[in-house]
Amino acid sequence: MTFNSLHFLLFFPAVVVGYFALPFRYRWLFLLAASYYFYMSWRAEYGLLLFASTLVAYGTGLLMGRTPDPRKRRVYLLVSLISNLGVLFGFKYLDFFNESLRGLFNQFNIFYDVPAFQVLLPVGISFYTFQALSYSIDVYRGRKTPETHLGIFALYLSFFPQLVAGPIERSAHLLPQFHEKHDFDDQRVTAGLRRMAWGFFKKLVIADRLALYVNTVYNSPTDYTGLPLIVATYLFLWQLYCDFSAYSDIAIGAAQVMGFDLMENFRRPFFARSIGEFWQRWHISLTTWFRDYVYIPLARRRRFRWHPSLDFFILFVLIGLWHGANWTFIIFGLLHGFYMAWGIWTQGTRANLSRLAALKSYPRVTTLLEVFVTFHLLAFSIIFFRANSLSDALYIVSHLFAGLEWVPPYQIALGAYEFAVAILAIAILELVHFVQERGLPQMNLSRHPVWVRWSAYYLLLFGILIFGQFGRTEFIYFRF
Amino acid sequence: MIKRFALKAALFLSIGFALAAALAYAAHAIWPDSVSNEYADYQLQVRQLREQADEIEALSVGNSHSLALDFETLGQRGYHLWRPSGDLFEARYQLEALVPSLPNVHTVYISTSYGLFRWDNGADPEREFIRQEMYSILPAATPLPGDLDNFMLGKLRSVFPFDYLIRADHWKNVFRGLLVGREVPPQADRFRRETDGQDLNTRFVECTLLSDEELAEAAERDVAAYRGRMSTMAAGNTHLQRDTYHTTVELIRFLQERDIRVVFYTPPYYESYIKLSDPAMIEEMKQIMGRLQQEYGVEYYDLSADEELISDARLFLNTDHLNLCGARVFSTRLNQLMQSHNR
Repeated sequence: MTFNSLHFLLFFPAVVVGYFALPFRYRWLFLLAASYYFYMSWRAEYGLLLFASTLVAYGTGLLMGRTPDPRKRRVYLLVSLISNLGVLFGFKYLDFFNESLRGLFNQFNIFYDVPAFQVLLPVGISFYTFQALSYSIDVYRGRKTPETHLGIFALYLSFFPQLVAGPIERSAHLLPQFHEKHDFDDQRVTAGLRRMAWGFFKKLVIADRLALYVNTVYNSPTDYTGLPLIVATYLFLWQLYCDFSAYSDIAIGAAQVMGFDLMENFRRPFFARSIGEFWQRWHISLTTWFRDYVYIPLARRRRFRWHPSLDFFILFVLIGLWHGANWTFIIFGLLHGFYMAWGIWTQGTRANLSRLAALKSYPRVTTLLEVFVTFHLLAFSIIFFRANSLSDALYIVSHLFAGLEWVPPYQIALGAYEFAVAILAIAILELVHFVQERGLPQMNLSRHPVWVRWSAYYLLLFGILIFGQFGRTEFIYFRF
Repeated sequence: MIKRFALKAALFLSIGFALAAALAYAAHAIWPDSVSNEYADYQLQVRQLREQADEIEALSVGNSHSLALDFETLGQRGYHLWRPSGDLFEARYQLEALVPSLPNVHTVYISTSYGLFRWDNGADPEREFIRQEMYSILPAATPLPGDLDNFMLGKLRSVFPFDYLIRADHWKNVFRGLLVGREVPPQADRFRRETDGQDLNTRFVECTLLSDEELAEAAERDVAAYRGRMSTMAAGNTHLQRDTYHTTVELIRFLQERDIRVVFYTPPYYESYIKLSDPAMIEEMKQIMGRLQQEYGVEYYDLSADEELISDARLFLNTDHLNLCGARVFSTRLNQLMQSHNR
């Protein structure tokens, strides 16, 4: 069951009605059952894996809470880390690892034949595994008291709005909310539904429309040179953003309807003025996870202190690998590590250049320039994120500026009309972002009379119905 | 608070529904691309079938290979209920929905194409509309397993014409039609077919004549398209072969419980098509049919590679379908085989 299926449109209202109709003491059980039903509608077996992960994190958390002995606590933490990461490795990385080793050994004419695991990657495994890990580490560090209620803890890992593609929640933020009673609040329900509708607009009108163009080009890149490759790359940036942030919007909105507050996952990333700022605006729940559990511990290890920029390479290679077991994601991570390191290495030079060009006198020009450069650095790296293979990515990079003759973009996959709809929708999206970025209060819908609000809602809903692509396309981040 | 919210929500939805109906009405003049022309055919087929319920002795279900059957040649008062690209799930669903209201049906023919056991329209996003059309027309209250979305969309289609609002052309043709007026694309011939009472049970495929070269050239394209479609379906349903087999068994049991004779048949393919087809797939189909014959006593007639038929270009509409002349020849042959089986 995906958010953009009819099944979900029936499931969600039923869950909301049931949730508010039930006495508080049964609500956790109802939500837990609904969440497992949601998850197991992909494949029932997945539920067992999720439950196993829950038991391990819950059990080790309890054991850590019961003993003050740091050695024992470390052992329990290791059990949780090894079992959770082991499952993730087995399902997601083992085949890639074997394949890479096989390639390496082949270079030396050594026969390496480990059979491929070849199992279907359980949906959302990277998300709930990371959520379980953060809980275990927080309990180990004493930042979180262990959760004693198994049902509530199981709900924390399986809460259906954010189970499959985040936001990756922290136990300190989400777990206490399951112990609180949430009364029906029409303002909050309306705000949640509005957020969900905005998510559906981004997914159905923009992301799935752009996917037609991007998939056509990226699935057979060697058929194209120059402009189509450039256009597809730009469009993929918006497709990816709209697809993923739409999921977050729907998740946050759905949770909000039931009274839960999930963390924000995106903050208008294309307004970022540097790659560092981009990562503070993009997939925030993942970057803060890596910051707290990987980057800061790395930076604190004084005994093995290496050059600080190396930390960035490690961090971003891990972020790249989190997305998938493929060399393209590793290159994507390396590129971002390089961008960050380059930012440190050239800080002085750039400041001198800026002074020479007197850019400080023109702050708007500086901002525009920074946003422009950041956007293009991103666009370059995203080629590796989207390409189906490393050879495809290298072909695209080497042919971006080859044969730059004019090919009307609407001649590929989308007609002129569909292309115009896509561009118009992106313009609306960025206009809304601009307004949000500037924080213009007059654009806050809830301040306006009911007829203005309802008109805006109808426009949004009919915009989705009329211009949406209803092809049951899955969300991109389901693969991760 | 909940009561006030519920009232507001009801008002919001009512206005929304009225707006949707108004928009659908505005777009009504322009036939949406998303609705296949076969939808109207199918509506008519089901209606005709129900009108002639007492007279029908034989039914043919399955996909376009059902065109190979000519009831006149078979000497039966039969009715074609095939659907383009129909699969076994749909065949079973149609039979379960309609056979109980057909008291005199004694034989059901099921076209058995090479890839039939690897075919599931529900597993292919581009073919889901076939399911939705079926649900909207057939008098059945439950969906096929795991096909709830299509079922609801199909049933919704039968009460609210959402195809006029949510259109594959995204209102491009509507905007053009409303603004320019004259440049509206011609409507499909749906209404003509529906209103002139043309009997869809009569054959509309003439004895076309394609050269050997034309057929050989088309075979490559046709086989590739068929293969591509099947790989999409295999990705969409990882238990495809198991599911198709299971549904075939259920279909057979359903008919046999009603003393209805079940006849599977595979009509001829043009020889160049056979050469390019995956031999493993053909073998698989034969093995499954052999198993069904053995375990359930169904009849199966495989003329797909009949040497007298497969090389005669005059009998073919295209590489994998017979034309009317071919259908007559095939049906004569099938009739002889069935009679010798009876003896």
